[in-house]
Amino acid sequence: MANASIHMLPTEVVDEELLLEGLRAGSADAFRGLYRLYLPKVAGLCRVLLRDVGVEDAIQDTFLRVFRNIQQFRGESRLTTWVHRIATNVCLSELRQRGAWRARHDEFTDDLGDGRDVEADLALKQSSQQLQTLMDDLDPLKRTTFFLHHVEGLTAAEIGVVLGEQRGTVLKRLQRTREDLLARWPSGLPDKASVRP
Amino acid sequence: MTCPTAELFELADGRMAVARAQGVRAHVRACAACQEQLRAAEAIVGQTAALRQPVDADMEARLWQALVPEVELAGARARKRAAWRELLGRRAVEMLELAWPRDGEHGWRVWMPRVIWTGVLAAILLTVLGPDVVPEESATAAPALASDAPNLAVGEPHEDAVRTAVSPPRSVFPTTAPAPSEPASMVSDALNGNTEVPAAAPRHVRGWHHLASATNSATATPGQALLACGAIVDLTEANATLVHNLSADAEIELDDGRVVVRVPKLPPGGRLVVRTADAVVQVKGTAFAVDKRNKDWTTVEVFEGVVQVDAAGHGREPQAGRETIFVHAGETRRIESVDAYLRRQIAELDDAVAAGRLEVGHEKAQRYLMVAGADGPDVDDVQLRLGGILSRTGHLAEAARLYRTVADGDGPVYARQNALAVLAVLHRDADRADAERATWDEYLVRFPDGLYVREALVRQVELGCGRADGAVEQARRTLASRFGQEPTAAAVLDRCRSR
Ligand SMILES: [Zn+2]
Repeated sequence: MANASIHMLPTEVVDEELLLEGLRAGSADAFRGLYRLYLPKVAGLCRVLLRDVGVEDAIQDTFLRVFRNIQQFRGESRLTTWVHRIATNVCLSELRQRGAWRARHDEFTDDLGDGRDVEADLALKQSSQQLQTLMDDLDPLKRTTFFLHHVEGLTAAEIGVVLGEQRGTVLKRLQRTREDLLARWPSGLPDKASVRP
Repeated sequence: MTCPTAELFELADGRMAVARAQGVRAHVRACAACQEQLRAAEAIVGQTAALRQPVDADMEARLWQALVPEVELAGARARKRAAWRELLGRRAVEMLELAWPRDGEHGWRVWMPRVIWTGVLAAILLTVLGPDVVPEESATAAPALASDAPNLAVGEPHEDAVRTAVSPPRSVFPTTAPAPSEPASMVSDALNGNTEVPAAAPRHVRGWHHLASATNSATATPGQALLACGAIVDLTEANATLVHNLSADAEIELDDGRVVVRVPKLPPGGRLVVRTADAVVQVKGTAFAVDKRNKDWTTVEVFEGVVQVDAAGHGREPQAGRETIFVHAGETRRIESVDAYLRRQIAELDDAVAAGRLEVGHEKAQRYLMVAGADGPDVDDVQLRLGGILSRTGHLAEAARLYRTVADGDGPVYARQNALAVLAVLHRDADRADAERATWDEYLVRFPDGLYVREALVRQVELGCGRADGAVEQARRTLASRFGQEPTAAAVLDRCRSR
């Protein structure tokens, strides 16, 4: 039990309405339930956005804000959208403070390849964490968008709520992100392969 | 058909509608480029699960520990909020909640309520985390006086009988009185209540002191005093001022620390009073200790007999509105400071309301206002609470009067705003449209950038629905220009179009 990983919890069976009722009533059990339910999600997003620096602080900060503001959650969106929005805000603001945000954003905004050579491609191919490595090179908004859609299963409209954007903007970015990843995926198409002139 | 690159991920992810998926698959079968891209997309999608790494139990426990205080706070907040929703009515609370910031908003609509709520939360924090101020029964057995016996000794008359001495710093106060050392016969007699001590001239002694009786036959060792009235006072741990006079009235002003008093027998009309910032302890004949080492309360411990204790107000006089208690032998009672008492009244007021015991809440609120006085802390907040209770119990006129008092008072701007807004809601709930409109008019004039401007405008438009009136038209225009983007405002504008 002590070392059990909690992402194995049957999170799907949690009734969001019941949970919300408990949270509004201030039940400690409900807060604990919310924490256990969302910790893996929040941790995943924070790791993808912050890599390994300051992840725990960001998780803690996210839950503090969630607990503090739960009374203002009015069910206008799904709870998961709301929690992700807070986590995203926390992480992006952390990135902004680090100054990494602008630099990375500029660097990768209109970049489709980064000159990875064949050997690197091979090494990447053998790694079981190719995707993670490639994600690290994406700008934070692309990372967030891709993560929320393909890992957390949020729709483009919900990601729009998280990021404060129109659905169309999200869809465009999602598509650009997929193209980026495909282009740099070792077995990608030759014409999009990553060799810089 | 052009290559459906955009859709390959959805296909790989298994999210595509069946009909569409069939079409895309047909293309992919015939297109080498898309086949390769689909394989890549499938490989990528296959690794997405790895992005959500498991959280180990250690980290889960560690983070949770850090969150527990916030959970407790949130629980307390939720309970009190529920109570106020119950009390003020859902609509009023929801209206007030509109002013609460949503994550990600900016500008004054965010920080202004934050400032206010920080204050409110701070008050809640204080009440929640404040010291346990409930009078305590004697948990520990009262020590025998002997162990606390004043360490008196007979000696030569001291020339400097009223020598001013420096009181010891608090940190060096011993936790127990020093061990008795060879009590002299007269002092022993005094301890046993057998000595008649002539009255001494009135004098003030501050802090540590030597004190001689009028006959100069006995001198207390530093920290102890034999008073003219016959009382023996141990001031070893006290920073106190001693006032006594010929009429056998003695008073001890205890600023901090602890005094132990034994009063063997007071002459007729005699009186001994110990005053601290929190308590007035009156005695006829007894042995007791008064302890003022905590800034939030005074503890009175009685070894023999009984003492009368009143909570002290300004000037250390018994305070109106707080009850007199009698502490008997073997009992220890805590008398809260005014601040602690007021904090507890608010906490109990909220708890009572939460439990639906409005009459108790009413009494707590009134007691608070009586004890705090007009200039007391958070008087406006308590008046608002009392107004809520009054309106809830059907005393609408009284509630309205109270809200009006706060609105026109010189309290903090948020209290005045809240009072006026709640007054408008009160009129609304009582279907007094004219009064409600007038109140919102006043609100907009007095607080043009206030927290409830949107609500004021919405109600003015609603109330003027279907009327061609200059003021309503003006409200409609302002609402459209300032809040037209918001669903609530847009809906009202839509419903009540001008003609
Ligand atoms: Zn194709």
